[in-house]
Amino acid sequence: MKIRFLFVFFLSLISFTSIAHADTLQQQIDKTPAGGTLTLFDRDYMETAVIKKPITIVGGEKTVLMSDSEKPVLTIENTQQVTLKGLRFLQSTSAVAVKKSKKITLDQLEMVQMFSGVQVYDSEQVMIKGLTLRGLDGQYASKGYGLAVYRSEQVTLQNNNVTLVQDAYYLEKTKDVIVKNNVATESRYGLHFMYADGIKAENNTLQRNVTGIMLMLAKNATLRHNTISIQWDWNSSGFTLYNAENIVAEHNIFSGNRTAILSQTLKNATIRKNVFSSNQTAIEFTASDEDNVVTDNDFVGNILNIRSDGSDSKIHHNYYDDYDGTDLDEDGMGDTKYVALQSFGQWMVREPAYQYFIESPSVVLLNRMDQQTNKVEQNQLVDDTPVIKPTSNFSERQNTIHIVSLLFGLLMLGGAIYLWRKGVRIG
Amino acid sequence: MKKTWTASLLIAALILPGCGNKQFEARGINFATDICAICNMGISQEPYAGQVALANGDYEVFDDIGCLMTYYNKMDQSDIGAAFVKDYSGDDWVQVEKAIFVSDEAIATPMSYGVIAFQTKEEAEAYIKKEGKGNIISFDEVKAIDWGAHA
Repeated sequence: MKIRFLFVFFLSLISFTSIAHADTLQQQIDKTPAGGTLTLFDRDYMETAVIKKPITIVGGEKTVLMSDSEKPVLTIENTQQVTLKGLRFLQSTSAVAVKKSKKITLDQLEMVQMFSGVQVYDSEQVMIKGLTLRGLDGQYASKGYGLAVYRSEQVTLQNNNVTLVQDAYYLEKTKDVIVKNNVATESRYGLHFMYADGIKAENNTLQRNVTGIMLMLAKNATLRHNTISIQWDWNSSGFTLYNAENIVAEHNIFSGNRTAILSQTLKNATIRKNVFSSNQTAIEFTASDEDNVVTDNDFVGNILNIRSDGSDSKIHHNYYDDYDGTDLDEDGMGDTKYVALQSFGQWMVREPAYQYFIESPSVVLLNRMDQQTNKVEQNQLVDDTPVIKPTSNFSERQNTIHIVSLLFGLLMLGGAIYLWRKGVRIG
Repeated sequence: MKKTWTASLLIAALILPGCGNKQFEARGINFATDICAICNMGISQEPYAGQVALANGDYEVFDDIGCLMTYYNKMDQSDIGAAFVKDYSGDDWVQVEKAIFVSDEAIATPMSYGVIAFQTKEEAEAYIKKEGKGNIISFDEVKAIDWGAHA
């Protein structure tokens, strides 16, 4: 009797477990009460599901979600207070879509080999944090967006890392968006804002994209403390500010970009306290408004510092490493003005292919002649108060890197001498 | 006399071909290097692309029909050889004068101008029926849109 009881009890246990385990994702969601928490099993879920009630879904250590459908694996719609945490998505068209919802949190999601990641439509109070997304190899045209937000308000994207997609973070017709501490690499655009109002993009690292931040038809944006480097493709730029107004770009570091800030029909922008280092062109103004201000920036090691198509702007109190003036009264500012105007730079704005001649002997000679003749320039691209010392500590950090390089070089040289003395032949 | 005739024929053969109308053809999009001449965006979605073959032999490409028309409207028409839009299927280029346009705010395009193009009226109508949005408009109506006010 006892054995029979134990057998039945054991069987019922197995049956119960296997039934629960066999539930589809949608069934598990449906069984979880509103406001409850669903912890997923450590298994693969090959399906799509829809969430229409407040719920928290937590992934197990080995939970994998995927789908061969065109639809997102998870769709959250017409609801509020949904949290997805620690879920892993694999090889699908799209991971999560949020539609007409409020108070949504996506926390620590991982996505691998995805066409696109998250799409948010017509929603409010959305927080996406700690997400990692790796897209697909190949042309940008054959990929989707990483995190895309449309017609939504009060959205925060924080501590996310997106690579190998078309646009890492795409925001269209959004209001009051905070984008901070994110990383975007190997994509077409790092951050892409269109028709956006009220943007804060801070402490983001944007590297090896076609364009770091693409700000189009947007207004009231603050772009601060971002690190923008190695946007070096043909037509690349650190920031492209197109048809934008009321823009503040400050405390950013631009290094190794084709054009650090490319602006077109830009109105009422302030570009201050940034470091422009080793870019081909630091700032380019095209058809821009004269109310744009460039002040307190450091221009170090760029081929061209500022160029324009004739658009004027207020330029003052910047540091230029190629300024050759003096400071006899020791007020920290040069005694003569700095003229950024260069004939070749201006031509390059109109005909980008000229960039291939930039260090040719004739262009170098032309630039030297410009430096002499431009001393009479009164208006265009003139800084009346160039500062003598850099305003940031960027140069000190650069020196540290150089010392490391020097030590490495000395080590290699010592090794080479040692091999030579030993009479070792290579090849 | 015979030499004069021969020389005249040769000269005519050289000069007359240049008197005909030059045929302008669309070129393919290079996704790696082509950017829109108006908004600087890369061309990543062919169904919305456009291009202008300039009379001098150059080309300008556009990511959105709105950008194409912004450029088209501000150019001296004698400088434009031909203008093309991509059929919404993304397969063929169609001359703007021959294309059938469908417009609706809700049609998502790269710059959100909301205008797409088709080769035939039947295809345009099939799209409107399937998607439940859009109105057919002529090229003259497309030209008349105030594209600059879109922002």
